[in-house]
Amino acid sequence: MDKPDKRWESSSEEEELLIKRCQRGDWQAFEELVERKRQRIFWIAYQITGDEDGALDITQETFIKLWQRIGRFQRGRKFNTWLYRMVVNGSIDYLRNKNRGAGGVSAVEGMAEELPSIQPDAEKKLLIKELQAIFNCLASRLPPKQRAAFVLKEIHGFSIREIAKIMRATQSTIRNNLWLAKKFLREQIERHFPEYITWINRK
Amino acid sequence: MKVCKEIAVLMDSYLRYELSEEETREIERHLARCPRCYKAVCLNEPSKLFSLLTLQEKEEYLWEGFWSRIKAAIEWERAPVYRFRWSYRVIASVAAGLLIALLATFTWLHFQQAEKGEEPSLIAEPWKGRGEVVSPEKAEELENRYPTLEKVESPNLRVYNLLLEDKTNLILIFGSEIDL
Repeated sequence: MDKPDKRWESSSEEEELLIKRCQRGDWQAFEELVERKRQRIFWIAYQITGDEDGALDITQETFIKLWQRIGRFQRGRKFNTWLYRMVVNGSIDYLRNKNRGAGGVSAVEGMAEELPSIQPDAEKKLLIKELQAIFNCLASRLPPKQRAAFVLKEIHGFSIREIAKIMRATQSTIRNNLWLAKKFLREQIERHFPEYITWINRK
Repeated sequence: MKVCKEIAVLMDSYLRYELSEEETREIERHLARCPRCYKAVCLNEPSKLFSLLTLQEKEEYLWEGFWSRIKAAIEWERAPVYRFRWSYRVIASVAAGLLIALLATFTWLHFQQAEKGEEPSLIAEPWKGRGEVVSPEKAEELENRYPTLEKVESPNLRVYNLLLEDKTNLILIFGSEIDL
């Protein structure tokens, strides 16, 4: 089984050059920066919100904010931390504003019945699609900050120190958020999706 | 389940986020290479399964027109003050125009009404009020202007009764023998 690659991207020299060009108002450089960052930004937003349209809007908003604020970005600061902070804050705000009444226990139970039982030789793509649907369903019941911390750590591979910087919180707060999120998700998987544990065992 | 030594010792601490950044990185590097250890970690902590979600790629259609939407939004927001003033001016001008038209209509209607009110009523009742003696010219003018004006006539005297706007009567007296 593949382990997700760790993708903490520190700004490369090339990226720094792009940022400088953007600060001078270069559209072409900004387009290239958008092209480089949009996938990651979208996935962070999507996994925190669980809503594709919402995530696309947040991604767009993040880049608009980036253009408006890039002139104020100071050299020596971590560009990615700054950028991901924008998307995480946007996603948390989105979740807070969104009416989340539909994500109750009954929705989780209903979903467990709808999902096809996973076959040992199921393709990874299908497995990932199912996992994503399960995650969206279960994580919708997590508080936004716990969900954001979990997404950044367990899905996107950021370190606790980096998450603390992105979310402007102490490392112990992040650890606590992660622990609570993980505990909740573990219980929910064991209760509603035990076949996944069996599946791991068989692999 | 048998796992590699380095994982066996640190697994609990790793799952409780108690390891240092460097130790965590090392374990994750190992998990990326060793499916057996990754499986063991997932069995201990099923939520680790969700770490697979990072491998997804979004379909290209999602990004169609994405850049042009961002560019358009930025260009629109670049001159918000100018646009606000422009639209404000248009709205203000239209509102002012409507207000002026409304005021003009009301004023015109008011004057029309007032003009109507100035006309004497042809059925002024009763025959009492202040009296005024009028000249023959005025009497003639009244006769011409209001041929049905209420009047009482004798060979030497004519008395006209007018109802004024303030609802009082004006008795106009014309007598050929009255000396003005």
